[in-house]
Amino acid sequence: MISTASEDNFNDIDELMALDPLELSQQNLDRIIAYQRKHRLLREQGVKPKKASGEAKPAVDLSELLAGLKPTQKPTISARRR
Amino acid sequence: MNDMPASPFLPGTKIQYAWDSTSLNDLKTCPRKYQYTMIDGWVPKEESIHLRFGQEYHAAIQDFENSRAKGQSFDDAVRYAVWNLLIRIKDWDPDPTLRAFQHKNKDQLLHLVVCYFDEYRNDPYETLILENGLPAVELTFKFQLDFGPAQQVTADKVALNAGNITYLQEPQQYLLCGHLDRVVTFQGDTYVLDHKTTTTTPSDYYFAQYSPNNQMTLYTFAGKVILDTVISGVVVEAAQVTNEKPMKFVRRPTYRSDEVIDEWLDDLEYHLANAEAFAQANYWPMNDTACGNYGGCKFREVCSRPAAVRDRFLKSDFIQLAPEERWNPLRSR
Repeated sequence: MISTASEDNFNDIDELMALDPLELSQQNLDRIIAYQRKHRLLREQGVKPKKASGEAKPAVDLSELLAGLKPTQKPTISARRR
Repeated sequence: MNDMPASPFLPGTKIQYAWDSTSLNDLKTCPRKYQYTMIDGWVPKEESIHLRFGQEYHAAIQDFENSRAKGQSFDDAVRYAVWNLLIRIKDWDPDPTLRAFQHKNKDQLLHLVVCYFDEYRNDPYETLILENGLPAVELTFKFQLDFGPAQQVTADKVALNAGNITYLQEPQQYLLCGHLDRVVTFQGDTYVLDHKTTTTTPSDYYFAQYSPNNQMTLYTFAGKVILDTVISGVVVEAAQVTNEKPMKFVRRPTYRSDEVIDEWLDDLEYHLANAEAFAQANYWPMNDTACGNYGGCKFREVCSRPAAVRDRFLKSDFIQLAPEERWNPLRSR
């Protein structure tokens, strides 16, 4: 489970990545690099990375879609002998 | 500033004289594929993401290597390479609707580059330093073979004098061109190192494709020619680009003896003669046994259609580049 601390870092990274690269300070760069290293550790631990900005959002939100469905009677197949 | 390279074709013809591993690969795989790519300039709409991703990955590593060769610390070199990368890709806007975007986008590129530097922080492979003090990275090569297109030996271009043939116009010899990613030494041997990015697992099956392999043989040969030293072979360095699992890096050498290279050169003469014959006939036959290779040729859907409608499918799924934008072995990086 991704910790709250890393979610805060993620938001900071979003802001850093939105800056003009020519405006980035050495500290900014170090934070970007540190984030990538932390990201690598999370992957090695099997933690699913949160989608960063710029990545494609899913075309369909499955959880929202499934939330509206009601259980129906299990379909049965009846075959007639010919 | 325009840096227009010369055309790789003999003037007024479709006979290519300047070749690199990419154009040779296409020719050897399927003349029709070669025609669509090199002669007609068709590229799939998705190809630009793969190309750009690979180019930027290479460029970041080159920046890092250049910094280290200048004596900068590991951390400073990483910082500079990352900063330069961010500057270069600032306006890169890959299409998120394309399938390639899932693995190859700006975030993934940045992550891959940092992981690469950390993976090889204590690299046992040392970059060769050239006589000019520069690191042997992104070495461009272009050298002549001792033969050229036969089409140039025509009655109007030669003079016969007492049994000796004199060329009225110096014939163009074939050129072999390309770029060596990096030249390294390891345990006393010198290798060309080639960076590859892949979404597949770098397993024995993956590395099997590199022997025999047109590109690796050419690079071994080129390394020997331009560096005038013994090159044992090429180290293929695969970087697996993953979405959720850690990026994976694997290196595997592929060796080429002088005998293997000599045979490759002998075969090359036949392949280039074929290319010249196709160009003179203005017809490039399809090799319909290669359509399923490596997950399927990018032109398979086009070639599976009747000839009369192929143009429509090309225009639908491909972009036709202007001649000056098409793949050109003579273009410098």
